Amino acid sequence: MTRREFIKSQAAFAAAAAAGVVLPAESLAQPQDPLVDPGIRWDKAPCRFCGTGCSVLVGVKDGHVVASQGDPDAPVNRGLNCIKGYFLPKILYGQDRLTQPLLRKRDGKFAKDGEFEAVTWDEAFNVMAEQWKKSIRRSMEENAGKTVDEMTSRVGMFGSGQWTVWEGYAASKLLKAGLRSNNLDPNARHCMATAVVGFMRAFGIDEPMGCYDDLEHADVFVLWGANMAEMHPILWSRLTDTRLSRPGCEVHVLSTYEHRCFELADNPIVFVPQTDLAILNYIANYIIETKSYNQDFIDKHVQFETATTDIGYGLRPEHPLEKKAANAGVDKKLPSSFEEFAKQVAPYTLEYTAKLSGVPPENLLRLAKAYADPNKKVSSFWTMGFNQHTRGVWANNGCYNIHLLMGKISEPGNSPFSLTGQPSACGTAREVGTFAHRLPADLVVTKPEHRAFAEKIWKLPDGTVPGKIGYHAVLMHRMMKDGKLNCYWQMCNNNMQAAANLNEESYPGWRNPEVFVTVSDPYPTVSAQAADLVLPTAMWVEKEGAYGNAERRTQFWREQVAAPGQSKSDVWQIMEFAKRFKVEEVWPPELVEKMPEYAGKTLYEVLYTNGQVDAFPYEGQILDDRGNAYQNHESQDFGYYVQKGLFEEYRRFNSAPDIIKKGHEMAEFQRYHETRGLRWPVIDGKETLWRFREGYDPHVRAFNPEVAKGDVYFYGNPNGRANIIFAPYEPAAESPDAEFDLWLCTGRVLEHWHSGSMTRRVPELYRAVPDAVIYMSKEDAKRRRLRDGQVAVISTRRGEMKARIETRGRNRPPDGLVFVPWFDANRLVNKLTLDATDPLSKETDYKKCACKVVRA
Amino acid sequence: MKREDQRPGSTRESDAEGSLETSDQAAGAPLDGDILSCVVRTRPGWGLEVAARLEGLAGVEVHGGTEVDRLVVTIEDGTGHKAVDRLGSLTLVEGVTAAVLIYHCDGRALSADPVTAEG
Repeated sequence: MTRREFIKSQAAFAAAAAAGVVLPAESLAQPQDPLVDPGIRWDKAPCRFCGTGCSVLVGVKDGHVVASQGDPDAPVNRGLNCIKGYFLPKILYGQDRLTQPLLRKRDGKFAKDGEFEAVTWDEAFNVMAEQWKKSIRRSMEENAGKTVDEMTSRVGMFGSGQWTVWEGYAASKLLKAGLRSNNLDPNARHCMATAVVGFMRAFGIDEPMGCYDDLEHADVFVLWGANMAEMHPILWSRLTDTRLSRPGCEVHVLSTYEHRCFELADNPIVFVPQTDLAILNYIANYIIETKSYNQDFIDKHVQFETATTDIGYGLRPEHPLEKKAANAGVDKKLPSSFEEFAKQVAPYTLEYTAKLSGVPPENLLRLAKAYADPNKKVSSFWTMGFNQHTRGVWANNGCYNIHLLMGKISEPGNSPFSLTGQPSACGTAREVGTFAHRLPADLVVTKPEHRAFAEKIWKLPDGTVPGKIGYHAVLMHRMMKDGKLNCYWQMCNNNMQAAANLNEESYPGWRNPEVFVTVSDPYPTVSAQAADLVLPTAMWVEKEGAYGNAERRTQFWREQVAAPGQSKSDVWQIMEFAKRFKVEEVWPPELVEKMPEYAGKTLYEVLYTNGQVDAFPYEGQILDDRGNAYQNHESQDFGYYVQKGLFEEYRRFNSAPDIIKKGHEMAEFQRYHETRGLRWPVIDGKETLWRFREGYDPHVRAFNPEVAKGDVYFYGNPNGRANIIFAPYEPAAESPDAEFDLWLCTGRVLEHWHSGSMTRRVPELYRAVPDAVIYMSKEDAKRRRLRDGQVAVISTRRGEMKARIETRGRNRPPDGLVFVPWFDANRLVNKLTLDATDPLSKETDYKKCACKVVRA
Repeated sequence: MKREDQRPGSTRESDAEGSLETSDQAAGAPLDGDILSCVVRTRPGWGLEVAARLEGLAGVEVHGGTEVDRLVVTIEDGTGHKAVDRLGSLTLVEGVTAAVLIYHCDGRALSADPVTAEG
């Protein structure tokens, strides 16, 4: 037998196991001598890409990742692996990996207008710290005499839903406690912030109540602005299996253009942008008019509220739309009733909604009937169609309204489910709380008791953590342009390619001479090229990590291979940078005096060698239960088991006996290395599949001892009830007009993940989809005398770019709308997009602005 | 609709556009080529017929699953074709509803020489 035959046999048996097919035992090749076995070491890791959280087995030989396999023991993907999984090993080995720090210099010194030169880590951090200290001194002068609730800061960090759990936690500690700045926000602001606010307003606690098991239990699937076939292919595969095997199962797909999910749609619905708000209210109206609602559930588990309306579009205050808005940014909800709610949704008749949305009445009626049928279990899935929406919080709540009216929630198959786009948008951005308003475990900076709890865990003086919400992602760029945010550290994302309105906000902000920008990344992205200092970063299995996926599953992995050159992980960079600051340089004397034992110490000592983070020894290697040994470069450098210390300290926020908000409990560190993840809350070592329902969630009986067997209790809210919140249809911030006559919608394609900084470096993926194109209807192309494949200019009031026209591709827009993906660093569609946000979540609407397309 | 006169190894696309080469048109796997495996789902009752068509494609081997319409397939790099490209094109074969990747091994791991980043 040859080595090739041996590997082929292994590959075949892996596929057979995933397919549930039995192959003859004699066809499983056994290595007859050691030379045949290539000696690949296998270990598990969650995928680096989307928020599904598939587990892959990573094969390492000679210090290189050489193989991957869908993890047969993973409940999420059950041995399957999507096409991006195939390319996971290759993202580590792009030809242009950054291997040493790069600083803009002229005449041997840092210069904003200088050229990049290689420097040591010491020089990089020394120059960076000098800039940060200068800005912090200004902040301390400005904050003199202010209360902790009035404090502002001139330094900030833009983090990531791709950060590991401990990277986000270490960053939150450094910024919010050490440097006393709440200017920490993740790129999940562009992705999941709307879902967060939707959950908090309805349920008082973040993240979905259901789980992926709903995919096997539902009778009806409704996709609201989610192209699962391309963005969550493994979940789509599970959904497809149910659709094809479950009698009566049906799939409703709603979008502003046709995409690959429409191939399976029983009820395909293309609606006019923004009118999803009206469709949601129509369904609620239908349920009430036909008296299909679950009266018992409503009586026991729901209360009604009304959203403040005319709330603006999150633009700069001087923008005419903000001046015109009666209640710009107001998030207040008013008490309401079932009767009042019924009156509010009554105008959303079938006729009105069909006309407004452009959807045929029969399609709307079929959708409404599916929700209203008490005998059908309905799972609703959404992603950016709902979230990147100037009224996205309302849309999220509109979907909860429907599920709550019917009582179709928190049980197998009945599930309103917000999917995520990043591997740890939930685990890091949301659960650790790296948003500008948050602390770990759903705590917030605006509540003194929450800050005090954080300060107690972190062993810090009272009043260390500021109480004023920091700059969110979009506001950061505006403040950089205005010279009010002077130091900005971007980690693990590519905001210069992502943030909307590049020409008017992002680029002027980053290149403002008063601003110092640091970018940590494995590759020279668009962001890195616009930075002042670039730090080479270890990625994925080049470090020990933890991600939390969309179904509340926390998953760990070990460091499998060494990062190239001088690259270091983000957590190493954060902790090492903390060594540059003495407490006296960042805290006023009165704060230091509260804990004089910290005088003269560095933030590294105060925050990380505090007896908790450094509590676990590092023995020079990490061993698994099979005896394999792994390196851990952070622990090697710092001298203790960094990841374990950070995680166990973080667990004091969500699992200690005295925690403020129950419901996020996690297991001990080592348990996650031994499992394929656990879904929180983890109580007595057992994960929770469906929250808020007795029998599944142990918290229900703990909060409500009188609860009936199998009944629900929404313990995130003090009275145990979920909120049905009415909000009307309101128009988009910018709609097509005589000059800019088309809707522009942006998004992703299967082959490229987000800004393409990893996937575009994989030759096969680059070849498959090399450039972004303008997906357009044939009629719209014909009207503009454009042919398929012809280069055109697409422009908005903010900028323009050139791309080829595509009328026959996978995405089929209706007349009046074009779709452009944003992965292409050579075609920056964010020069075109508008930085209008949902005023409640501050998340940008990347799906709607006005554009025109002409021949180049 | 099923076609009765399907040539062994041919596909809908190769008939129509000549886009998929058959085993008759390509040489065997290079010694350092990649190997992958996948599960190919077929329309109900099409397992055997699809298996026959896949077996005709260069680098493709069907190991089982015909009776349950879930084919266990390995694909190897060959002269002029990459296994991953072949995987991407399997859904073009008549009767195939999905092709899901399971396992991939970089051909460098099969060499007796140490693996390097440049290798």
